[in-house]
Amino acid sequence: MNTPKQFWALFKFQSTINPFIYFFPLVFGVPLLIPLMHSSFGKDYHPSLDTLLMIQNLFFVGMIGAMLVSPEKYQFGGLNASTSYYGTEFLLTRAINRPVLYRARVTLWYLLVLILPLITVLHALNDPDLVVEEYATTVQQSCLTQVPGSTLLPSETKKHSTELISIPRGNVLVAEWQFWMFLLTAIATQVLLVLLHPIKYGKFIFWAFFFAMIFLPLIFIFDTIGKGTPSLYEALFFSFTSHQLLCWILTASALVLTQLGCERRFVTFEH
Amino acid sequence: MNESPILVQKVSRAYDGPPVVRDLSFAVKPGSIYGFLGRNGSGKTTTLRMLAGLIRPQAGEVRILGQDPFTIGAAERQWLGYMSEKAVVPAFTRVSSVLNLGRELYPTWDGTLADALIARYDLSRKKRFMTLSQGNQRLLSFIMAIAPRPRVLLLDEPAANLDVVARREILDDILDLIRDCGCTVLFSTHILSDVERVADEIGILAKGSLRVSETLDSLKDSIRQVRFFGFPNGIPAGDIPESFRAVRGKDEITITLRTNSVTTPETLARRWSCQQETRALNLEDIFVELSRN
Repeated sequence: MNTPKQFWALFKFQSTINPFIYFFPLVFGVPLLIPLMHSSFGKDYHPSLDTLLMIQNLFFVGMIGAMLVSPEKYQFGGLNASTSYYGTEFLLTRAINRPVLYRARVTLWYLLVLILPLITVLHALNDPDLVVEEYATTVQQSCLTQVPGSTLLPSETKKHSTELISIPRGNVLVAEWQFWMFLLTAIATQVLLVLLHPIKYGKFIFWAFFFAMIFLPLIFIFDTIGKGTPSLYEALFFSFTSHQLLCWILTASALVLTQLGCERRFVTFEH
Repeated sequence: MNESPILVQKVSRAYDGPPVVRDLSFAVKPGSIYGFLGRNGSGKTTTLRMLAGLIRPQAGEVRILGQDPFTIGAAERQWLGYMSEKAVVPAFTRVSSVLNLGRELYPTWDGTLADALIARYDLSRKKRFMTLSQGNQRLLSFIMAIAPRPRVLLLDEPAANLDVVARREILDDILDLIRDCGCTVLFSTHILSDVERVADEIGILAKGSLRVSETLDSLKDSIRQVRFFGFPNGIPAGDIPESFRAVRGKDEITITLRTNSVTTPETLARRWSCQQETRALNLEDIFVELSRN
């Protein structure tokens, strides 16, 4: 059987293997849409760039990754469980090429974690321009210098005491940035899963990272409140907007290299 | 090139502790059925998992149709059928999806055979795997192993959780498969009557080492339990060479040994100046005697 047919057969099978894999993207992905829908709630500006950029649900990328890519390894009791929910042993002992199974699983994982960020990009295309309120001068300056086309709104249009910044295609930029963050997190998680797989306590290290991903965004928020400097998210967003092409080229290269490297590693793992 | 479709040479394998399998060697003749016996934890499943390419030996080598099963691709793996001792088919998957996957992955998939077995075992295609009874789960796993018409079939406890009728049917299906396409079968089991019924050769594994590997007739002919008694100078001390098991009583020693080895019951009786009484063993007796030590 040729590789594309095998890939398609495995992808179809994987996608029906466990309905719970669709639960987490729905629950944790939908909040992504809410900030971008803010403008449709009747206001003509967004109250803060930082809250717009805040992504607190990146951790679910890791959760789905552990469930799909190497499920028995990263579930407690998984290898000895009497019931299999992902069928790794079953699939590995069928007439398949192991890299193709890995590719099918990773493809499904990436689709699940990127589908909602992709929807936010498409949604943003309907209402591309962004007006955001920003009181901190340093952040204003960073935004004006690093985000292409951004301008301070003329005073006659000001309705508020703090400055408003107009960013043409700003909503699209924010959605693209969120998509990019999800993609980067997925790539990093893929590398982490494969690196930790052969380690005896790799499962525990992975889940420690996982919980760190849940709480780190909160720490970043508390660290920047009231300081008037760009938060980590804002700094990343400004870097992304000022080097967009380079970011996408590097990410695409990382994606391909990670996939090829991980496939080669996956075939050497015992199950 | 070695002609044995299933070859295990000086294989050792441990997990986190002592070796589960140590220095294990055996070969299965083409078109034969090899019954793999052993107590729980004796290393049967580990050996089968190595042969299925799920884990690798830490020493020695395993070969399926002359190739390393851990590294083979789809083209070679289509000739290897494997049924795990566990319910490894994904729990939420429907029977029809599992069969579809088999049909899509295997160019050699025998849809007629699969359909016939599904009908004979009365399996519902619409049911999810987890809603099947344990016996029916085993039957579906068995169908997935034999419907591709493999050249080598590895079955880990295929008859576990099955009623006697289904067990008989599975054994008949295995025999049919061998008759139709010369498949070589290695199966592990606790059910000795199954082994007696179909196996051409038997291997008994104890604590990771193969105690015997030969035909059932040869086993029954050569292994005996001998009672030595009437010792003039009391029970002799020390190890008894080439014996499988020795139990010292107050006035007698009962030894399980091969009658065709260098140390025969007669030589021992002469050495100890005692009398001896020999008893033939059935497969269950042999299994118990060889596995106990």
